[in-house]
Amino acid sequence: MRTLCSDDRYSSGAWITVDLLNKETAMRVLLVEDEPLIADFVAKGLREAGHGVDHAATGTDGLHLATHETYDALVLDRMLPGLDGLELLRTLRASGHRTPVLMLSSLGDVEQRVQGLRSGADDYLAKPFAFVELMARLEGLLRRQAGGPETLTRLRVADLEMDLLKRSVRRGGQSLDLQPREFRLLEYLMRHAEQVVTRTMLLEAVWDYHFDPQTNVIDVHISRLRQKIDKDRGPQLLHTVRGAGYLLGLRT
Amino acid sequence: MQSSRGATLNRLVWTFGFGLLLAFAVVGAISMLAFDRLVERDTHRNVQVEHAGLLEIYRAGGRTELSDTIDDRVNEPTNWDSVYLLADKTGRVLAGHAEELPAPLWKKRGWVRFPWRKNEDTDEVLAFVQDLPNGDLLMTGHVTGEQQHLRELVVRLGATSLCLLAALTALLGWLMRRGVDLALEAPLDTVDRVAAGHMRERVPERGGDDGFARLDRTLNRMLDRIHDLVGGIQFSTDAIAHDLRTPLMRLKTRLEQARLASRDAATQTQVDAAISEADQLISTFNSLLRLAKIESKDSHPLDAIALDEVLFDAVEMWQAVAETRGQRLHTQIAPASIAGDRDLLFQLLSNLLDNAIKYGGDDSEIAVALSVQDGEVLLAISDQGPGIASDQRERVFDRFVRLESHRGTPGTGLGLSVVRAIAIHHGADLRLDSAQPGLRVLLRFPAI
Repeated sequence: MRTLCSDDRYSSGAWITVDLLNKETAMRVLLVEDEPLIADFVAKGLREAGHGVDHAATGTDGLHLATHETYDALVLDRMLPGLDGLELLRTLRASGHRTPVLMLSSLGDVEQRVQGLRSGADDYLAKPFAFVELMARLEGLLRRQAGGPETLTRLRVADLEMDLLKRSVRRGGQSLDLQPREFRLLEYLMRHAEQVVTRTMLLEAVWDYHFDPQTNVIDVHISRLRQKIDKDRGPQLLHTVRGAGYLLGLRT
Repeated sequence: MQSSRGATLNRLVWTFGFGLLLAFAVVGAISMLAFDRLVERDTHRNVQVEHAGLLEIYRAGGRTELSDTIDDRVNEPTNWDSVYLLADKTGRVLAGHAEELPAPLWKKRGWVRFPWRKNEDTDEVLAFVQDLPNGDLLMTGHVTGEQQHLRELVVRLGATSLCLLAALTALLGWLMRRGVDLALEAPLDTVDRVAAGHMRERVPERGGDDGFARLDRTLNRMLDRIHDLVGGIQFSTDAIAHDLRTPLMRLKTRLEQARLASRDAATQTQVDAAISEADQLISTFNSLLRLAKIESKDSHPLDAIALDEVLFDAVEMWQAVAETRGQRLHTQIAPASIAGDRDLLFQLLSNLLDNAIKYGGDDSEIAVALSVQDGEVLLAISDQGPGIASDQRERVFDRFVRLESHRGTPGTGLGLSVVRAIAIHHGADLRLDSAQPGLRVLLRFPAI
């Protein structure tokens, strides 16, 4: 499904991830996951990114921590010993807790996903996932929580400007001609500037379809967009992040 | 199916009707024979009694007395059906019906039968001929015309009854056919609905223990069983999903950890390749699960979907890929709504367009057409690639089937299986034929 990164400058995924995550303000995350390997990996990754992590291995422990401590976000596995993840979430929401929840599950089907979202999850990530994707989604959740940039009429990344009212895009003062879909794609990337966005996130947000593209059709659209915004127009802004997705921003 | 059901029932009704008529005819014939024998015996006895009476008279009063008695009887109008003859050795008639009697009679003795002509009617006479002790000849007979008439009457009656019975049987047969059709309507409709995906529908059960009541119960038991089996597949799919995803997740996690820890380029390349393989594995696994999910879905989708809009989005998405290969996508899209699932339809269109682009060849043309015809929504996607030989067209829908000529290209071998599952889920008819050259995929959805 994913192709290897063709962008030599960003062949080191580790560097880009850590660098990117450090820009975010530190948050406190509760991780409820019974699989030790995954729990360790996720906790380590979050800590390396400068966040505080509490870990619970069962649903009952998770519920206890979630109700007695304050967290910025919850990463919740769906299938847990003791108390099921969905049940935990419903209990939490029923008692008025509004902490953003990212649900992890080995049941990645659309229906399961809808069920998870209906139970109060803010986002849903199917296993197996790449850590960058988890990170990207978690950051997305926090931004949404913070009110988000929805009220903006202008977006700006380096010398790339988007006027949402006039539906126009300029780079370095030069106007760019974008197709409607390219405009939506760029808008999403600009709203999530300096953040890794995954292919799945793009499919859902820009094309609004839950489906499995057998071929990497998103890559083609990204490279078309890159042609328009980056080619001969100064430093590259649209980057491919190996094994994860894309990032719009200025790298030095 | 309809015609063979009709044939079975017709045969049943015809066999039944024919059997009934045959039985009636046989019983009629037997009755006729029995009736004949009865009447014949009666005539015999009457002749015998009368003959014995005449012999008695002869013994008491001799030839003269006998001759007088016979004359009296011949002239008696109520005795019209009796025939007599008294003649001497030389053949001279002494009394009785001389002129009406045929000559060959004189040579016979005992029971004889001969035609009798009187009052324009041709009848038959049964008679007993005997020599008297003095050498005279005495014949006593009876006209059997009455018997003949009776027999004719019975035959006519039988034939009329037979015709009536045939008509009645035909009517009964028709009623029976209608009855059976009506009785089968509810269970057949239910089974049709279940086949169309309404897995929870059941046949309304009739009481009693005749064949129809048993059919209802048996069908319901079978439907319950199918439901359980489908549920079982669903359950095991979920279980497999969980059991396999966990190790896949661990595999990917370990690879990512290794990737983060590695410092030399060669290892990184190796690990990246391994991650890419794992992703391919996960992708195939996801497709397989998705396929199982679609196939075990309970009922048809109900949302009204503007297929033209979904198609437009899909074309727009894949156009970019087609352009990288110098292919041109020609579209002819008419507004068309169907009952469907938006995401699944996009998946279907996406798989078909992906295939057309993959196999169409560089700088070729791909035609996409959506139209509404006779209450059906028609979708046709044609490419100019090598196409699929007609004997391979069914096979390509099977899981993991990839044609020899496509071995080199990337793909899981599940794309068309998914397309077919989604088509079936939407009650659509899916067909492959030749675009001369190339492949043409034809889909027919019921319009709403």
